[in-house]
Amino acid sequence: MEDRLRRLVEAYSPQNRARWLAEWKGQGGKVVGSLCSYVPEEVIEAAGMLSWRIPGVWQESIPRAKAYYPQDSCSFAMRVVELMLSGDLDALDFVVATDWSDDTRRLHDIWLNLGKAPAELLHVPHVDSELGYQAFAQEIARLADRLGEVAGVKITAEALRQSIATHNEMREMLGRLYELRKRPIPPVTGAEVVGITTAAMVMPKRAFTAELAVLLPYLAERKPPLPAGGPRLMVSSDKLDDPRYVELIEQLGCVVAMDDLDTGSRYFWQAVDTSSADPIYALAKRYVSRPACPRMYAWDRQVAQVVAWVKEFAIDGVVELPVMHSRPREGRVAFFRESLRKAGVPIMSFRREYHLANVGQLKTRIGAFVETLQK
Amino acid sequence: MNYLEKQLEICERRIKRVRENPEASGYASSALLYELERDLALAQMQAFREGRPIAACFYTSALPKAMGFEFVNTMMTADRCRWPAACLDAIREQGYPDDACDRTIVSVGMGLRNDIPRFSMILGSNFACDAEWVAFNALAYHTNVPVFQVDIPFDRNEDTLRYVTEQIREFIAFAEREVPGVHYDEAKLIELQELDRQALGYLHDMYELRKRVPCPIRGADAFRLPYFPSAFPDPHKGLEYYRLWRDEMAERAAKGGGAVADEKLRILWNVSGPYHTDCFTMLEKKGVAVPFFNYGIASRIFGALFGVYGDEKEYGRRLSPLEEEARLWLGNTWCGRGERWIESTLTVCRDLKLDAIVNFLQSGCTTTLGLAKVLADRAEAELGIPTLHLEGRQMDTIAIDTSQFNQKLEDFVDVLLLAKAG
Repeated sequence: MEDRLRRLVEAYSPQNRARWLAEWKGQGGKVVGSLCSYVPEEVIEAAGMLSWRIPGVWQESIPRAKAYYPQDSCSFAMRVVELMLSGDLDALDFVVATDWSDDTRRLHDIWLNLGKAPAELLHVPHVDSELGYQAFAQEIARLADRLGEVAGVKITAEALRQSIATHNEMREMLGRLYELRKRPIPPVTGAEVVGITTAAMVMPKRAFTAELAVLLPYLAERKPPLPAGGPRLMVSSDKLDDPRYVELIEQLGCVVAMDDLDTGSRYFWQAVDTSSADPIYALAKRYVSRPACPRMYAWDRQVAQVVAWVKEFAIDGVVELPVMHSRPREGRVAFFRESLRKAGVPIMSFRREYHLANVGQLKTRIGAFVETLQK
Repeated sequence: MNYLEKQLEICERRIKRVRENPEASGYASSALLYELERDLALAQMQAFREGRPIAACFYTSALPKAMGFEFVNTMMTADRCRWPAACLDAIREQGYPDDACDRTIVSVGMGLRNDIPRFSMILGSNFACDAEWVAFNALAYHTNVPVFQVDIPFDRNEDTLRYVTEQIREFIAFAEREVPGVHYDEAKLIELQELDRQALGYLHDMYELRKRVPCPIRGADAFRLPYFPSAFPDPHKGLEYYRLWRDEMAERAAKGGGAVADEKLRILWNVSGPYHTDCFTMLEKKGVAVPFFNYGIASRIFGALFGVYGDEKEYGRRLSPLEEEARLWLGNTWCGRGERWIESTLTVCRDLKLDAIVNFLQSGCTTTLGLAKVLADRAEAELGIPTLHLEGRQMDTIAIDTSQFNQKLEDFVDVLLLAKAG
């Protein structure tokens, strides 16, 4: 079972992630590349296609991307462009982007300019409100029409409901995984959790859910892999898809017992309401009202969510890792820091590259923070 | 208050200079412009002293004024700040990155330093980019005032028009609830929109005049971005300025001469400008005209692409006053798909018969940086014109070497001139 766990944790790694895309294509299916956790994957699956999260390259050198971006541009966006230009995404049949940030919005424009698979750009409302839900429902309906053309099907309400049920099941499974993290010494590391949640973003949902369903009972009985006694941390960031970041933190004598990540908790938290008569509206409401990324206007609600999780998961401190030059989070830094401090939550913030880099500096700074938390 | 006091001093000095020597300053009407800016600074100061409501806003001025607010455009205020380095120091202390768009982070720095009066509330949006709405949120936090952010989608159709209009209604209700003494006056909005509409008509005339070869305006004048008449305490006086400005330009164009002696090249300046350096004198000496400065809303307000107030073609019908505001807010080409910005740039290049583009790579300008190569490729393919990508900062003089900046520009121009000479 340890091998099975390891395979799931490594499903998203650079050496493995393309396998899911290739297998799906090999069976005659079509694959839609998704650039954001706000893309409603349910619609993609309802069209009979695989939703596959597009990463950036996990490397320092990005010679091709530098033709498109100056150096002080979003570290994530630059590395996605590098991957786009490498040809490794040529098998995709369609790409869906959002305006999570201006930089991710421009990924759509750059992709179109390359003349590869067609793409669509969704506007995700910055406001969590009834008006916002209705506006996003219109976007989702538009996406559904477009995806239906690509797949050669009409996406029915019934197909959407079934897809929603599948995705809610995945969310429920991940919720159970996160419940294990509440134990004083979790049986799963924070790094392993990032590996598992990112696996969900590239695997067929049913296959992922089935695999996690097999592993959960094993994990519930598993001997905790990390030693007892260290502080419990929450990692807060965006586009953090490399478990080695979290592994680095946990090697400093702590456990990452919860996260505030769009590649983690924010990806699956909050199910779609299946009682709604309109599945598209239900999807819109879920995606806009789920625990928010810093790109949403209401920073106070984001802080409130983090504070709630701090309490729920008995967190001793928050490590915030803003991606370099990712402006929504960078602009929120002072508000986030001071608001958490006022709430009595210790926090440190350190700008990071998208890919694992500046390891020495990270260890020094986070290590010092961990020491302050040690009881 | 530091900013307003400084602004008064600068305006008075400029008024005196222009009145003493109108020709040297380019436009005699500039004296009126500086009077208007002085009047605006005085009005803002007075509102603060008297405890009257002041709204910090993004681009719009007619709506807040129609509600009884005194109006401050924080970004345009930051453009005019004379101590950006101190503002950047202030934001660094808070942990903000200092390589984001200058005008947005300087606006936050001004708030941190109390350089500007404390507002009653802030009206923000993603009208242009992330950096702006983030700056509004940060400013609201540091100055402890309520903020209302409008979400602007990027398609222009009846659904999105309705969506933004409904949010405007929500803003009105919010402001009337949070700020004592403000109340939405639709008749006032209609009156102010009509004055702004006429001013935009003059801008459209000036856009047409700029099509002339040689170009009747100087490069530095292409960066003149006055507030709409509705922003000023006397909006009729504001409209008068626009008329005089148009008339002066028309008079120059009628005489047949250009602002640049012996015009050899015409270039487009894109995105933003280096406010701390004068590269236009060098360009003029080489016979290079800069007929247009293109930024997010420019092609709309100059009438190159769609109209603003009163236009019935865009939606196939007449819009209500609040819908007119929504149309303006939906009109920034930086918001949305890159095609909008690229199309606006190429349209202006075609209209004004431009030979090249200087694409200013403003540090932190997230909405345009990722489009730089795409834009250059399209300009080359569709118009056969080259693009110079010029890294720069609007206000930070430490990060960018001015002499290198000017040298790159000069080298680009020299190559163009050689190519043109055959």
